[in-house]
Amino acid sequence: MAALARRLGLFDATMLMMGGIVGSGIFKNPYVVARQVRTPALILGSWVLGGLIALAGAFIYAELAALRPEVGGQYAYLRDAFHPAAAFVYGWGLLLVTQSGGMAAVSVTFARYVLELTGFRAGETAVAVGTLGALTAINCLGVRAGATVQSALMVLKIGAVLGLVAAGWLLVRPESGGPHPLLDRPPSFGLLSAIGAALVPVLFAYGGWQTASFVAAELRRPERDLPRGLLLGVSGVILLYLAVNAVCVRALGPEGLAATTTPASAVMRRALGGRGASLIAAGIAISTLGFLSQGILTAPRVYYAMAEDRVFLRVVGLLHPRTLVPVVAIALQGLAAAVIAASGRGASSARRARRSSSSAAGRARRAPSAPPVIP
Amino acid sequence: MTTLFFVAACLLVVINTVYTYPANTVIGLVILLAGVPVYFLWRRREA
Repeated sequence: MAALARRLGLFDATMLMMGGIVGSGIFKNPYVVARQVRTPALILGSWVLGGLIALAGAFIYAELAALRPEVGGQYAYLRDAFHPAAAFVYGWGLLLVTQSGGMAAVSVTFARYVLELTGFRAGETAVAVGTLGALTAINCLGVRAGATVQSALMVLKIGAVLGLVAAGWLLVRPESGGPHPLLDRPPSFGLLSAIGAALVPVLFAYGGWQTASFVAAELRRPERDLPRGLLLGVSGVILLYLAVNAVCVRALGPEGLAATTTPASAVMRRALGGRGASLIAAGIAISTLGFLSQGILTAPRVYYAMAEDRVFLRVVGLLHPRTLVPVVAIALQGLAAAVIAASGRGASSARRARRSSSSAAGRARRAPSAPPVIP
Repeated sequence: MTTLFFVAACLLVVINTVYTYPANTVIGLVILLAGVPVYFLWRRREA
């Protein structure tokens, strides 16, 4: 009987980990936090605190990964720690809602940015579905092919973020509104609840590392490389997030950061003019494509594990005899995302998300609710 | 200790989500709970 092929190493694990956490949200989210707390110390402090929480989670998942280096990762942890039904419900939600819906919405965002950048005339849905199809095909060629594409996109994403940081640091004069106080109000319950409200989007931004655990059975040494990749990946993400936020606060000032909804574009516009803004659009296109390639690589391993456990269609457990990847599970994920994207639900939910984030902009001054955060 | 710290942070996110998006929370819970009978039906069929 065929088995999954162990072809990935520490670098792949680390890039998968970072790819699961960092999406295009890094170019937008800084302003969400700056609307909750108003001084540089509190803004950056929220990202540090969130990073420490993410690191705590990474240590916990590192132990779990070392204990259960099995296909499905988090699915296997839930199955063995609680009940097979709990694990099933996790996979069920992943396929029906979170993973497929997320990929559908992101594929439409990717299509929109690509069409805008290239000036190409084509339907958003056609580009979105075509992209999902291409990534599905690449991942059917083998786990090496899928991981190489994912890692390459993650490296490009890191490059885009570092470019933003370098341009913002070197080419933009710091926004100096005089010395800033440490806190935006005296220590009180109100301050505490503002920090709590700032922390929620921060924690969403740091979430997503669990998906890399799905491919445990395809790592050459999962019990070693998964924990290490987890800790390296989360540490890398903390550095990226702190650098981006520090540059946004320095270039725009805490008030300027809270006043925009496109902080990365605002920084790049100050650094390089209109060209800077299109560079950020390219960065967003790369990040959304990277998110899609990470999702199509990881999530199908959960459906495969479910089929192996006989709690899902047996055909989903089929491995291609030569490429040794679960081709039916991968095609199922691509299809589920494409159907949602094509049905317009993906597009309209992305629109809804945009609309609610712009209306949230209006009431953000007093409302404790944070606008939706993009991973 | 690490675990307690992390679980507390996760609770903060869950409570905030329920509070901020009550309607979406209910829809999400219904979809998830619908999976429970599916699981047991499948088990019976495969047994």
